[in-house]
Amino acid sequence: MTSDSEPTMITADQSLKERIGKDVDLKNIFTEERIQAGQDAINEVKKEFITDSMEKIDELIKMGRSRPGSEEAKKLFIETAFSHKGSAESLGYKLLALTLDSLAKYSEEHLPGDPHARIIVGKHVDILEIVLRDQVMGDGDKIGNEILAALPELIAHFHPSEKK
Amino acid sequence: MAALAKVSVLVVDSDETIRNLVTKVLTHLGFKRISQATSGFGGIKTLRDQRVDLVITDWELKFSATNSIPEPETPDVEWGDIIPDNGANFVKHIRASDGAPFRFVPIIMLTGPTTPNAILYARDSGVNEVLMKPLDSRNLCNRIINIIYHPRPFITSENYQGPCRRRKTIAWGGREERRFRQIQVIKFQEHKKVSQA
Repeated sequence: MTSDSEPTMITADQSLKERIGKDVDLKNIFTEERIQAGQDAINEVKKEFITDSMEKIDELIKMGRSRPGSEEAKKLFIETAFSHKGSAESLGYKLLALTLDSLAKYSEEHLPGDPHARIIVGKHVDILEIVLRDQVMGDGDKIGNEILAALPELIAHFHPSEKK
Repeated sequence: MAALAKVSVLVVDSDETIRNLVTKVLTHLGFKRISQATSGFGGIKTLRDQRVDLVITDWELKFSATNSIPEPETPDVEWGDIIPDNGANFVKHIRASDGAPFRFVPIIMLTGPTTPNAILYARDSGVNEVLMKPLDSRNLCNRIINIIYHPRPFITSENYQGPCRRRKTIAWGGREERRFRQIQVIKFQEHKKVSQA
C-alpha cells in the first residue's frame, strides 16, 4: 500500500541530451584542447584578480586601521565582501574569501560602536595585508587554517554570547 | 561543435567577473547560446521567457550588499511560496514550479568554502550536480557529462523535490523497500504526464 505522503518518482525526458543528439558522445566534443582553453581563461582571470582588487582591499585596510568601529567602516567591509568574496572563492583565493566573509559577518553583528573593534578588525586586516602582499592562493595551508580558526574564537572571546 | 550549437545554457551569478568567466569557459567548450542572470529573480524570469537546457548557478546569489528582497520589476511577477533570494531558494523555486517546462532543467551549483556542509546544502536544494570552487574547466565538463550519461529520476516528496539523491547504481539483490506513489514519464517537449506506472 502506498499513501499520499510517500514520494513520487518522475522520469522526465532530458532536453539537454535531445539537443546535443542522442548518438553524440560529449567526451569527443570536450577535447583536451577545449578543456585547456577553458582552463587558460580561468588562469588569466585569476592573475588579474588580485591586481585589480588591490586598490579596494587597500582602502579597506586603511579604514580598518584608522576608523575600525565606524559606520563608514561597516559599510565598506560589507560592500567589499559582497563585491570580492565570490570572485575570490571562485578563483581559488580561499583565505581572502573567508577573511572578508568573517569581517562582513562581524560588521553586520557588531558595528558600529563595538569597543573591541580595533582588535577584531585589526586581526582581519593583518590577514588581508599578508594575502595581498604574498598573493596567497588557497587557504594558506596549515598557518592559514590556524589563523582562520582563530578569528571566530577572537570574536567569541569579546562577545561570549556567540560561543557555540 | 554543431551538437552544442542548439543547447541553451543559463549562467546565474551575482558576481560579474565569475558570470563572464563561466560564459567564457562554456564558449571555449563549444556552447553558443549562453544567457546570463545576476540573481535568482532574474534567473526565474529568463526561465519563464525562454527555453533553457542547462542552468549553472552560484550557491549564494546575493543581489545587494544588504540582500534585501527587491520589488518585482513587473507587476505580474509573483514569486510564490519560495522566494528565489539565494542559490538554494532559486533551485527550490524551479523544482517546485509544478507544470512549468523548466521544472526538470538540469542544474549545476557552484559552491564555495564559506558554506559549511556546502555539498549537502546544494544537494538538498535539488541540484543535479555540485561544482566546488575554485572553478575548474575539466570539473565543469565532467559535471555536464555526468548529467547527460547518468540521469537520475526526479523525486517529489513532502520535504524534497529534485533529482534522486541516491547515486549508487550497485545492483540490489533484495526486495525493493523504497515506495513511490506513482511513476510518471514526462516528454521534454511538453512536460505533460503521459503515463503512470
